[in-house]
Amino acid sequence: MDRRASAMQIDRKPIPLGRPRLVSPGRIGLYIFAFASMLFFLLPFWVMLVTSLKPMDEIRLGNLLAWPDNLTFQPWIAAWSSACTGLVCDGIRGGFVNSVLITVPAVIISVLFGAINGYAISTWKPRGADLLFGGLVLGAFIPYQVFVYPMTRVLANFGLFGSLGGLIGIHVVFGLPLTTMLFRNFYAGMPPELFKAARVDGAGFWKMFVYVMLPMSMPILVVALVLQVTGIWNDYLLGLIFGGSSYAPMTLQLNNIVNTVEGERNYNIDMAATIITALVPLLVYFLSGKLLVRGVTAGAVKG
Amino acid sequence: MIEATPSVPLGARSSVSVRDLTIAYGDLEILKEMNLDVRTGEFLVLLGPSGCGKSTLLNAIAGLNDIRSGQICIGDVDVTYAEPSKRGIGMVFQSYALYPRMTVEQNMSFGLRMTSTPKAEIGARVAEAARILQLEPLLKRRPGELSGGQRQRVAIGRALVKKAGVFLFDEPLSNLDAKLRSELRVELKRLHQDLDSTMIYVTHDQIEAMTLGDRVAVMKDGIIQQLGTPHEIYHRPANRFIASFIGTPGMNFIDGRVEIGPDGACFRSAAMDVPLAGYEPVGPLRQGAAVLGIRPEHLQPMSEDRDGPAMSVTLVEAMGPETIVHGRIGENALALRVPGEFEGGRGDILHLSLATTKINLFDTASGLRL
Amino acid sequence: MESTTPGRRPPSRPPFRIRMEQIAVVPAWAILLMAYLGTLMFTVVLSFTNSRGFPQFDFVGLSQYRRLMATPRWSVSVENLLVFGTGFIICCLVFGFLLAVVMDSRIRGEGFLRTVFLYPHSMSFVVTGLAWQWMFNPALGIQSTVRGWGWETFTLNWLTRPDLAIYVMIIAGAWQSTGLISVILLAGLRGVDADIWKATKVDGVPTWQVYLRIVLPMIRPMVAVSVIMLAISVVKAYDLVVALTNGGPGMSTELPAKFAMDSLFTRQNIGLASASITLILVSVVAIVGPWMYCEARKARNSGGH
Repeated sequence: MDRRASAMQIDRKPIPLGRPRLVSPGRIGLYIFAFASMLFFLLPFWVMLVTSLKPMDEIRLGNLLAWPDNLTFQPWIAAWSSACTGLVCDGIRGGFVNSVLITVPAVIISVLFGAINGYAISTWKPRGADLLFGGLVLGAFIPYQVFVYPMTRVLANFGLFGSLGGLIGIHVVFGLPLTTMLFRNFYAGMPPELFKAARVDGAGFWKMFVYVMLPMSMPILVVALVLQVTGIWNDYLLGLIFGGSSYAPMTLQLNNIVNTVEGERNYNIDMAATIITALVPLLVYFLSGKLLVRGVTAGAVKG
Repeated sequence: MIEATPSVPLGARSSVSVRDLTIAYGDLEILKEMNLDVRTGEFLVLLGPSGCGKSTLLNAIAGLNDIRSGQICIGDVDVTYAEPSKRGIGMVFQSYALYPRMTVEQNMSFGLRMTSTPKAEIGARVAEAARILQLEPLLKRRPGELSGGQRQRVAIGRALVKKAGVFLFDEPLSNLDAKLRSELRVELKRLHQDLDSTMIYVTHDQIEAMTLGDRVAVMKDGIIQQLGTPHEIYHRPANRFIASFIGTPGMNFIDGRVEIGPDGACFRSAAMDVPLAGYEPVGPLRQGAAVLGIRPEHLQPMSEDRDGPAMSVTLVEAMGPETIVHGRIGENALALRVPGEFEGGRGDILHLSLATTKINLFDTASGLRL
Repeated sequence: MESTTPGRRPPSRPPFRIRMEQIAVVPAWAILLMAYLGTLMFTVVLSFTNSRGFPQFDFVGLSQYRRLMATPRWSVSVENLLVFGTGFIICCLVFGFLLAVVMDSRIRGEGFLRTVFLYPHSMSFVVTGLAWQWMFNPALGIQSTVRGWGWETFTLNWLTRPDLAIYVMIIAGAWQSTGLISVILLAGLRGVDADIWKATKVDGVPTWQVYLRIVLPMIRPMVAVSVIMLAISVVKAYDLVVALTNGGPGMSTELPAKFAMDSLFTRQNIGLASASITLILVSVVAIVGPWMYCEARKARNSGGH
């Protein structure tokens, strides 16, 4: 009883009273279901991992789940530096470099930009702020296909089509609704009196942003960074259209390596390349822990 | 074309005057042609139920609201369209509004740093404010590490260091628990006596209004219903709304008529008849429908049964030092404030005596004081 | 600086001021109007022209839409979309709600479970597609593994079967998105007032009944958000198809978004592509519009001063 009572004090903990006795058929079923779900979610990654560590001979034996008998890292090395896309056999490292070159500036610009927008919209409420915000939110829902073709024409006119700057710009444009939304909702949740106090204290638009708002924005800043890094890193479509031949991101190269091979496929190399591509977002996800969860739910639930 | 916006010199105590101020959002008028003069050094309380426009008025004085028409002057400077920071004001908020990532010291000095005050000056002023508010041991702490009362003292300190000519308080004690609230109330009163600054204080708590205010402006629906000393507000309310809003429980009302007879005016009703010889009317009394108002403490049960109006008791609320007795005379529900020793209960019949010099008369239709 | 005696001078007019907040949102306005609204309108306009490799402005009325309707690949895509969308959304919602309930029942290792459920969401659809393609590889995937265990007749060749390939897409999609839905729904479950649970406990209502009859209706807003998000990702679905099946076998996993992209960039038929994109846009507006309208109305009703 005491444990229940104390558990109830803890914010956002499961509701203790809804819980049946600790060992009951329902409880056992619950654990079995949880365990089965866990297997379902982990299985593909396990399969990818063991496949990437096996030589092809062993893969041909057809046991997808087994740990390799002859553990080899050769597929990883090949995937990184010598896997072929069509006639070029440079591995996926070029795509990695491209993805870094695209992601880093695009994330920084879109997050900063979103922070300023969210701040301006939520605290200063410039004329038309609701319309602007509503438009951006709506824009976030609309599939890229609607915008991409005219956008290619615009970029081509400015000579930016297929350039790194153009691709970064495109990511900023399409990242803006999300970052603006995150920051706007975050700032809107702050007491408006804080903003009034800063105005009485004589802080103008930029000073208030730098001295009052930004220092408080750490949580949402991390969320925005995580979401943007994973979002831009995982992009396929925009890289396909706007990256041209020289700035194909990793996802694109991965798909080319795996799906456009002639002759026999090297599944171990394919899987190694797949894992390498997923590594950055996975790392970001595991490092950020709860923040990503909070971010996606905040973005979704409040949006 | 950029006009230099006027600014109020700091350090001088100022008066505040509001002329024909109208604030509206769309068609919704929050304040209607409001006029208010706050004297230099005065503690003025804006009191009213939520949504009456009192906070809007305070925000307008601070420059935090868009105004539709009218004029606001602080001292003799027209600040109607001046930036909040140029008005020589300090403001204290209900939620404290301390900057969470700054220490107490940084919180208090922020306004001075924003106006590029010399470092030495900032240090001296923060030290002084900290001394007055006994915040010296807390200067390096963050707001999150302070109690509610301490936070509110820091918020007051933030206004103090600016040597504001006018202090604006927006329900500063409402977030505190009852005990702290009364402590800080006393502290605020003392601060006002020491500084002798002009203070405008918004609250919905009538005890704060009564104890703190030199004058109280009672607001409702965007209009100041009455502006007067706490004594005037309590004892000579300008209308029925104020009479019922002020005091717990509010004033008792009895419907009846004023009749002018050969031996002077008299209030007649089914419940009781009251001679009006001791009443000071606003204008000459006329015959007609009227409402008699009497505070619960001015109605008392008589010790021995006499021919006073008889009230049957419906409910007794013992509160310790005093007891509130609810009852009815015919259609009229009444409340009495009697000493705590009162013994009686539901169904008892009390004969009442009424302090005839303490009565109030209101017009039945308009609710205005007669 | 002029000084006035209060009340004597008529009220001044608001001084003209450059408002920094207005300037700060100019780029955002520019992006909204040009990159979003402008391109959107351009696409819609193109759908009424007979542009092929390059935009031309010969207006041909609705003929691109008529052609689109007569294109088998498009009608197959739309049919596939309905099958995929229904299956995917239902799977994610039901499975996601069950997972949310599991995490809400004070299970051991809740944090670990949440991490496991959600990690696929952090990865690219391309990765998801390739992983499941490998799992369903008819020669070396799950099928051969199970056969290797002794069940010689076991078949799991869905990716080669036109009638079943789309279900692999549903599984892969659900694998990636269910975690997110469960976390959103969990946030809803945690938002349910503890007193509700106490009240049902006092009334002796069985736990599963409480979830079904009391909690589920209470978290309707979260369910709505989930459905919207899932529906949008169905309409957008492109990378997953490209990586998993590339539309095949035959046209059995073609989807409208892929149809549009192929028409735009591979088949060089901009007018037709724009018509298909316009229809996609209309469907998104039909999904999101009513929801946003309801949300805005709710906000206005609860928000007022």
